[in-house]
Amino acid sequence: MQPRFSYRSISRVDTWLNRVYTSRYNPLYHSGAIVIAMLLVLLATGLYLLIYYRIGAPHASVERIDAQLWTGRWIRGLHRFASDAAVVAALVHAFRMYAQRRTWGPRALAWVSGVVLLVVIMVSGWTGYVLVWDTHAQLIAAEGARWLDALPLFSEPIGRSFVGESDLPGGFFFLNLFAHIALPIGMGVLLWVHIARVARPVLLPARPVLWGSIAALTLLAIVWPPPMAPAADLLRVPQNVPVDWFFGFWLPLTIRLPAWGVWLLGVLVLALFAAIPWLTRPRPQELPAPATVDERTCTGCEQCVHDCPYDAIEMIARTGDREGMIARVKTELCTSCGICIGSCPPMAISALGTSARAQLEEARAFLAEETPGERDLVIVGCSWSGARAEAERSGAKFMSVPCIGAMHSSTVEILLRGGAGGVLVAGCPEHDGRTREGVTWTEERLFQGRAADLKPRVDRSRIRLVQATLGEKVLLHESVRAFAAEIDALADANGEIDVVDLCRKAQPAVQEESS
Amino acid sequence: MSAAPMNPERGRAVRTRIVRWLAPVLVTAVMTVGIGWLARAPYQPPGSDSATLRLSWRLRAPVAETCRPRTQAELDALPVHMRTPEVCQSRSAAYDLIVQVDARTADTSRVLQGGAKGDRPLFVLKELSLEPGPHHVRVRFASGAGLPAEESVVLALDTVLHMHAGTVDLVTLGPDGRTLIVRQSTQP
Repeated sequence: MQPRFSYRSISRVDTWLNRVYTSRYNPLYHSGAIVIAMLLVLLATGLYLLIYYRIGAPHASVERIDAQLWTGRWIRGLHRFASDAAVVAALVHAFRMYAQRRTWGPRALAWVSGVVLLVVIMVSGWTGYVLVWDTHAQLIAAEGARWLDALPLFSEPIGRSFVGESDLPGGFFFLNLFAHIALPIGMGVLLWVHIARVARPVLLPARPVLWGSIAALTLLAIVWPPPMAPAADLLRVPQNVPVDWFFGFWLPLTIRLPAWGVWLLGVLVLALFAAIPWLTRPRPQELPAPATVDERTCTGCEQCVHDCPYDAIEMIARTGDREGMIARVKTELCTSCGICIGSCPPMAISALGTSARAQLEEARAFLAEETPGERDLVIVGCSWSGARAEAERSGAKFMSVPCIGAMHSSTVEILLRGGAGGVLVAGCPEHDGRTREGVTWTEERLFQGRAADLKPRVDRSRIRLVQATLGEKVLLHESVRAFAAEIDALADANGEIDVVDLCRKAQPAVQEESS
Repeated sequence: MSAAPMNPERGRAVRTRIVRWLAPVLVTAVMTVGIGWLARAPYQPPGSDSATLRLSWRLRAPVAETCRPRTQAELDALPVHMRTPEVCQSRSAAYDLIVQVDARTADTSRVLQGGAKGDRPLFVLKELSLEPGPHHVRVRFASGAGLPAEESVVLALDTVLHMHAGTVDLVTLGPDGRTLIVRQSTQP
């Protein structure tokens, strides 16, 4: 499966931001968690604003809040900017999921609930802007009333409330305030649904990203607070309205469309967004089958259960003459990411049309064909990384795996025993793995003893794990060059090694591993 | 006194460290300012260069009801608790709205009572976009019950309005509920 244009595009932006922030703190990798963080900021600042807001004098009370230089003004600004940041982060998060093909199958629930969440954030934002009852609110309210009046629901048009015959009743603002508070409560339920199929969901971004974004928005609210637009006047057409474009981006378009056109357009756009899991689903012949467990080989160690990023594996009691537990894949939850291939010490799991045993066979075939020497570097990577291109550039050998997370650690051992001077494993950055935790588990399997771990007998100095996006060619190239120099130095120090002898030695070791 | 020459390697390391700290701060600042600007960029809605004549009022119109006694057959066909002695049909009056601006008919429409069954108060809600300046506005709201022209007029307005760009002149019911008045913005 080749990366599509959208993936290459985000990869380019990631490359640039990784250089600025490092891949650990790249805010784009934390976009989903940033939304939650911003919602928490909105909750905290909203509670303060609620204390001072008056339904009977909406604009005047917000003006009073804005006049509190030491508290109200920046808290109101932070409340508003945090809502904008939440929208931006949600859109980035959605686009990343789309670009990485993480939308279809069991992830459809997360996608659809995410679309609903975004709609709820939008509606909640609109109700919040109406509460201020300035010219911006007037525009949103009049436009919203026009849309609602197109529905055959009301005996009198809601738009008549905004003609200027009389002052708006307090009930209108109470209703908005109620919706503005109730909708975020509903968001909590939606968030729970959104992450229901994800194991170990990351709810908050890395601390520097969390506090950095809050500090930046607070500073913005202090230095450049949002303006107070004039109070709404229903007998005037609002002039030069300071619109919040994150929530009002549609205004110039919809204001020129008939109300039925707005509904038609809105329903079409929403339906298109919600249908993305089914539109981007691979064709049946390309659809990867869910993982399967070989019951004879499974030892019931539970490692695959711990590693699965989607909670798609459970342990059940064995039937028949053998006792103990056995892993069972919940096919309706399995995304075929293949991480369980690398997590299984007895190599009992197959996914993505391959298995750890098949990988070992591929490694042996690779060794027979490429015959890497002690100064040769083998780069192991997936088709979504820049590993193949880098191997061609630097003259290293390249071995392809479906995903680094699906690579069994014994594959690395086979390659080294087969004569390769070093093995460089090229994976996605930690927080951006298409298979969520694949690269994290691989690092732990290779260097920290996580099952299925690389055996202690393997020389770690001949192994490197590099986390790089598709666009981080320089980083990958520099890592390959530095590692190649180290391998050369090791070869110089060790003297010549009999490659054929090493290959011969590798065979019994692998057989022992497989059994 | 002369300053000790700086080690070029050390100088480069210091510069790299400064850039490493400065780059994220600058990029964050640019993104934050971008959010700040997009949260306030002004927008000029359409209609701000023309004047608006808005007509809006709500009336509870008389309802004509015709009743007749139920026949015995009808009563027998109904469940006991629904056997009312009379069956009534109500018919609400229809009204004609005629708006003339500078002796030109700007709008004519028939106004019926609201609601799916036509049992809700009737309402008028019209907006006309006009050039700023003085306009002779004539509004007639007449019952369409076939009465003589002058007797049928329920509400009327005949006035000259000095209209301004970006403002709304609202024609609505006066406090007495029987005359049309014009309201304009009181804000400067």
